[in-house]
Amino acid sequence: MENSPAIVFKNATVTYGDFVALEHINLSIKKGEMVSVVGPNGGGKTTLLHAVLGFVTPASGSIQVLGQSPQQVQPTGRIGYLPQANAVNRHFPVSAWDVIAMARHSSQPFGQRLNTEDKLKINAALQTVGMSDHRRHHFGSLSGGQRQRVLIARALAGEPELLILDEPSTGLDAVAQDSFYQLLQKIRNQRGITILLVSHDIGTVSGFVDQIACLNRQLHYHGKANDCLTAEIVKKTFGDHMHVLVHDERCTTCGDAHG
Amino acid sequence: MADILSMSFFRNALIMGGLLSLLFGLLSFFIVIRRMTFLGAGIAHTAFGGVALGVLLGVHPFLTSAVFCVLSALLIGRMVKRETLTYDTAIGIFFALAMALGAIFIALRKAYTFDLSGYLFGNILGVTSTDLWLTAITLMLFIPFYFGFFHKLLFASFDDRVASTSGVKSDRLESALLVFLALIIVVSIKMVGIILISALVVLPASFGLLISRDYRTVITASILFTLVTMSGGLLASYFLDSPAGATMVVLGALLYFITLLFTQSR
Repeated sequence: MENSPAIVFKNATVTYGDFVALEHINLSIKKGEMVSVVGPNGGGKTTLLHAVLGFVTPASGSIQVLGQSPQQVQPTGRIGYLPQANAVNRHFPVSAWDVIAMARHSSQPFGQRLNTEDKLKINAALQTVGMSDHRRHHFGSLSGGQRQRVLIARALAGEPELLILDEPSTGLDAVAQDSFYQLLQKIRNQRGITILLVSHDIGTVSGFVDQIACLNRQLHYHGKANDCLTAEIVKKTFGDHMHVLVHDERCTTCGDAHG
Repeated sequence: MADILSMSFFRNALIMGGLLSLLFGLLSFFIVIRRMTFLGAGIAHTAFGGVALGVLLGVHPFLTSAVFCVLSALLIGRMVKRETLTYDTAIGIFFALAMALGAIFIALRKAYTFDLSGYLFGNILGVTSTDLWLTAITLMLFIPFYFGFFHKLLFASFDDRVASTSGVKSDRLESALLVFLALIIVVSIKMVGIILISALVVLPASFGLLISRDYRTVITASILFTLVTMSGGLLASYFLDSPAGATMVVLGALLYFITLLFTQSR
């Protein structure tokens, strides 16, 4: 695992007109790390991802992604992106295979068909996410968890260096969520891909990622998920109404996180 | 049947029907899955302003309506992309503006020899060999674009933002698709009519989507549907002595609803 950063925010502020979505963000994510941004709805999580993807430009400060500006790196295919589940049309007439093949077609010259290597990579991606048996199934007929796996496979088939996922566990039950995050860990371990994901479920995701970043317009915490997340940080991020109930072994060392 | 085919206007109309079947069968797929069907109706109506301007200036209406439609399509696309306006608002404005301009241009033309009804509802008697050539050229340009960029268009239609992060030039492809939508509408005006064209944009792929969830079958069904609708509508209009464009649309709608009933009852 290299130690050079995959993503660097330097005092970045992102605005939509007069509305400040992200304020003075300083964040560095190393290559090969799996990091989750957590925070309440409207806290700027998706905006942070969009800034990394180059969909929005900071009003001040700077962002570097894989050593380039987001706008430079965006069309290169070095980033695999999984948008929120509701962004995808479930009635679209494509199979799981067709969806994954899109990633290989995207870099093909005009009119060229997929070659054997492309097909092998699609099969490998299907195998990695455990969806080989569903390759011919209509994408929209798959369950929420299966669709997410297919979309991950599509991102993998493009051989990205950085994988970005926006609320990937939305709509999944607890078992499917655990299974999904385990899959992400496996991908990170096998392929060394940097993974940045967004979640509002701090409880589940913190058990699987290397680091978490607590975001509510400002970055309130960035560190190891296993370190102490104080009640103060959680309140700053999610607001006073948030109650934290910690059930795992961290209870013994992080008593101040109880709510 | 031989009697019908001996009439040159009917032969022209049948050839035109075949060319338009391919054009609309292919185009309809992307317009429907990208949920841009109202755009088809909107652009078709903007053609009215162009046709009227052509008649006023004594220029071939294809040229002026092509300019009107292509510009409208690109401007609507740009405004929506920049979130200046929503699709329905932008289309509504362009639609009304072009129709209003058309009415003014017609009023400015002192001699009233303009076949308004023919342009609005189609007139197969008006299909000339020039129209056939223009349609064939449009098809020859559209086919390489369509199949050369098919998978990139498919990706951009499925997931625009992800496609752009994967290196697909989504914006350029959408603009090119809008230009072809405008040109295909323009070449079909004489045959089908401005008001009825939107049916050919919407119905073929909607029919295909009723019978399959595989895009290859949807597109094939879409082409066959348009072919049956156009040739069947032409023949029926001859025997029923009804307007050809309207007969095609009624036949297409009937086919669609019968299939809808059949597929929903399964």
